[in-house]
Order: sequence, then C-alpha cells, then structure tokens
Amino acid sequence: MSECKHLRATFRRHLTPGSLTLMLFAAIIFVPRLIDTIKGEPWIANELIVARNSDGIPLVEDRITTHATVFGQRATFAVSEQGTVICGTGHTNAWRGESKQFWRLSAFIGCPQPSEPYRVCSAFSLTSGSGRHRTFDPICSPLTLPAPQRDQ
Amino acid sequence: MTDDPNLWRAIAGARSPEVWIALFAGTLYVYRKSPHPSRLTRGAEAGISGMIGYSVGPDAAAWAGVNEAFAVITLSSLGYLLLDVATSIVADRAVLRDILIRRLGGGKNE
Repeated sequence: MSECKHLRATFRRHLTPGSLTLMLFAAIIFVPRLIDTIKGEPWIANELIVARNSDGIPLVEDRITTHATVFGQRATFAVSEQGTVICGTGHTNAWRGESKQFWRLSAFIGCPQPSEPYRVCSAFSLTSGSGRHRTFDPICSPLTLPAPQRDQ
Repeated sequence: MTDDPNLWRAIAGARSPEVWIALFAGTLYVYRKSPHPSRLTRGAEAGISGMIGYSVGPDAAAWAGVNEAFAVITLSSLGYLLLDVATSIVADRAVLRDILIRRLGGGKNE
C-alpha cells in the first residue's frame, strides 16, 4: 500500500518539543484573530439624524446595525460646525442585529440643545465575543440648525 | 529602483532593532533545527524563513493586532515549517488523491 512518505518525514522532522511550543505560541497570537475573521470581528454601523417631533422637540434618530453581538462603550456628543466638541456623555451597552431608537437630544448629548448649528456624533469602543477589541471613528449626523423650541 | 544605492539601507531601516533581533532569533532557530548536513542548505532554509518573516511580518502583526516582533519571530521560525508541509503535500499529491478517492467511495476497477 502506498504511503505519504514525504508528509510522514516532514511531520517526523517538525514534531519536536521546540516546534510544538512555537506552534502553540503562534496559535495564541493568531487564532483569536482567525476566529474573529470567521465569526466576524467587532463591527457596527450607525446612522444619526436629528429630527423634531410634532411638538417641535428635537430627537435623535439612532439606527444601529451589527453582524454579531458586540459590547463596549459609546461616547455621544455634539460638535459645532467647525468640529469643536460642545458637550457629550457616554454609556456602556451591548448591541446585536438592527435597532432603531429615538433619543431626547439632551439625553443623547448630555446637555440642552446647542444655540449654534451642530452635529450629533457617536464613537464606539467595542469588544467581540472572542475578546477582540476595536475602536471606531466618530460617526456624525448632518449639520442641524437649532430648533426654536428648546429641549426639555 | 534596482539602481538605488540606498536600497540596502532602506531595507535595514524599514524595521526596528527589536524586529531585526526577532528575525535573527527565528532564522537561527531554523538553521539550528534543520536536519540537512550541508551548511548551504541550512542557510537557505533559514534565509527563506527570514524573508517570509521580514516581508509578511508587519501585515501579519497588523492583522492580528499584536506587536510586530511577536509576529516576526513566529513567522520566521515557523515559515519554513509551513512551506515544508505544503511542499510535502504537493510531493505526495498522487497518494493523497488516491486516499481521498477511496474515502469518498470511489476506486479503481481492479
């Protein structure tokens, strides 16, 4: 019966304590990332729009999409037209799938409505189920003019 | 680019000292471990591993999110092993194909 003599010789050559230690070392370094690639690394898409309800109160429409469960911190803040941060807040949460949520503006940015044109932004720092961590750049709404009626 | 007198300097300067030390450690391991009696063959094996570590190391480190020295020492010490396994699979391809055909229920009419 034919046999894999080359493969057999290769395995015999490389199955030494030194090589096995190195393979274990390589597995520790690369396998978590490989699992993330297979399962999907921390990823989130966020869309923010500032709208007003029927009473004229500004609300933030917050649409979030993820491929798998991710958890971590989210910083939410308002920036001026020039990009200066006006105020902000943050929270810890877990996200999965698609969600759409309306926030009172003051709850989202941690302060009353700014008196100048502004954008609302959110930045995520997330961890996947396999422990991989990823920080996302801020995602902002289009520039919004302050509503005549102030947020409560 | 091939006429660039600073090519070797650019190659040397493209990696930090700790990455070079990791690369040296990995290739030395391959050289020491090689079963070939010829120094030239051992050196070639070590060289191939070192070049794999040098060229792929930064991308592998960025992909895995680890320090470059870790990725380079791993790749340079295991690079030749991976190539060796792949080469053996190619060398034994006829036998492996027969085994696969038998496992999948096929076979020659004898």
